[in-house]
Amino acid sequence: MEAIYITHLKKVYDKTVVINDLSLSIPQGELFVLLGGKNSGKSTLLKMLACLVPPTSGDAALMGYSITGDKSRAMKTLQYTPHEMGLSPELTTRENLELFASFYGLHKREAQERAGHIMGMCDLVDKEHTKVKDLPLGLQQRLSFAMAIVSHPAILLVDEFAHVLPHLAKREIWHMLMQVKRKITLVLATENTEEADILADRIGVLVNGRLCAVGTKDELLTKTGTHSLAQALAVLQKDEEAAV
Amino acid sequence: MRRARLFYRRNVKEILKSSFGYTCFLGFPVAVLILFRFIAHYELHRVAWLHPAYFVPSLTLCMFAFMTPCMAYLVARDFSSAYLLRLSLSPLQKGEMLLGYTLPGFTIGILQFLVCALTLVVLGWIDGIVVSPLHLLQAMLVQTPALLFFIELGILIGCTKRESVALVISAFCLVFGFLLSDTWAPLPSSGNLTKWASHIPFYAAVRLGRHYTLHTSEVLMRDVWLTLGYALASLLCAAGTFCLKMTRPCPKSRS
Repeated sequence: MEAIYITHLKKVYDKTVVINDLSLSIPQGELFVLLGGKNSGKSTLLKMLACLVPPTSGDAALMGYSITGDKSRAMKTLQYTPHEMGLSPELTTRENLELFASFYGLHKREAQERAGHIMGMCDLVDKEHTKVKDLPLGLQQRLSFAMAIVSHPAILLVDEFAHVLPHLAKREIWHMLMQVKRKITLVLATENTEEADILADRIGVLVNGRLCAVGTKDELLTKTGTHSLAQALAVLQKDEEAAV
Repeated sequence: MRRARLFYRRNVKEILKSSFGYTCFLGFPVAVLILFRFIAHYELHRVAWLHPAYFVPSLTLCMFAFMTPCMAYLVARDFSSAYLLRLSLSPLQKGEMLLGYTLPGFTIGILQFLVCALTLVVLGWIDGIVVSPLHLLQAMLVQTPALLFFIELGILIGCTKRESVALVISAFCLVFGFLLSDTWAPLPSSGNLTKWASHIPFYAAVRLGRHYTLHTSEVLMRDVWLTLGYALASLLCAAGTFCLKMTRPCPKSRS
């Protein structure tokens, strides 16, 4: 079964088409990178999939549940990691995780165990009693990611995850994403071609709300006749602008 | 209810932050009361309105008013940091979230009142004045709607504005609360300020509280209805705005 199946999804804000007739399917366990520049519609697409923004037309199914017809079930299958992180600054790393696990119905003991396991996975054990406000940005990003996987979602939507981090911290985050790859279907929105290059099973290039190309890195390079993803993105953006 | 309780605990920590926060919230009114008791004791003719029994209802109202900036900042920050966006995808219901925001303010406010009341009892004992605990309890009950008003006003401001703007607006509310509640300066017996004060719940709540701590003023049913009405209206407005905002909890898109 496809984890995500999008059919003719469209979003219009004040007569501006943000997402234009987008169709796409993502199989379970895939790490799909949504690559695009600023204002290409990446965040809007993720928010539509996360049922946070209603589509103007079209539909998408998450693990078989429609985001328009069966929104509550669709929402249960996913987690969304916003680029603003969404953490409680006065709580410690462990408290943040335990609290979130408890919201998903886990009892105190189970929540403690789950938090411990996730902290181990995300290399946050050293900082378990540190308040979030005292954590460096890279660790806050890791915790944000840990909060998203604490509920064991089938699909994880990650929005501009590591864009403000130094390179080393980025690498650590990428390593974490690689760890959960195959266990969770990941959709990562980014404008960083290096990130797409390293992480993606498949890449979808989004330009002005249109999905211009979908494929593996090699397929995209062959299609555009380029040698790097950055060049491929530039070519696709130029083609799209010429078509408009 | 369990989820609301967990969210409530989180919010208490977010509001009080540290042991310093606890000390400020609970220690400040006590320090003010003791200070003013000494002023009132030695300068009784000039500042009789600072006598603890007279001052406790107005001081507690001012402490309640601090809930507005606290709640406004907390809610505004939770929206802008996308914490509420995260929560909107969790099984936590909007009602549980609202309860989780309202109850910490209530707990802190009631604790502040109890600390003030205890201080009043001790100061009354030193001065040879008997203050009935039952009357203090009654004073707390009649002032509770004002506490709810301040909390819900904070939530309402936090839902509609970003942190910095929310803090400025709620600081204005705080100042109005101070000015129009007959706390830091006695309201004149007539004039525009008094007229304004009679239409908002601050002075009404103080007057109700004083009835029980001093038995000096009459219980005006108008004051009861005014404080209750404002509390209910603010609750409905805050709940409606919060639910509406939670249907679109996203901060502005980057791309």
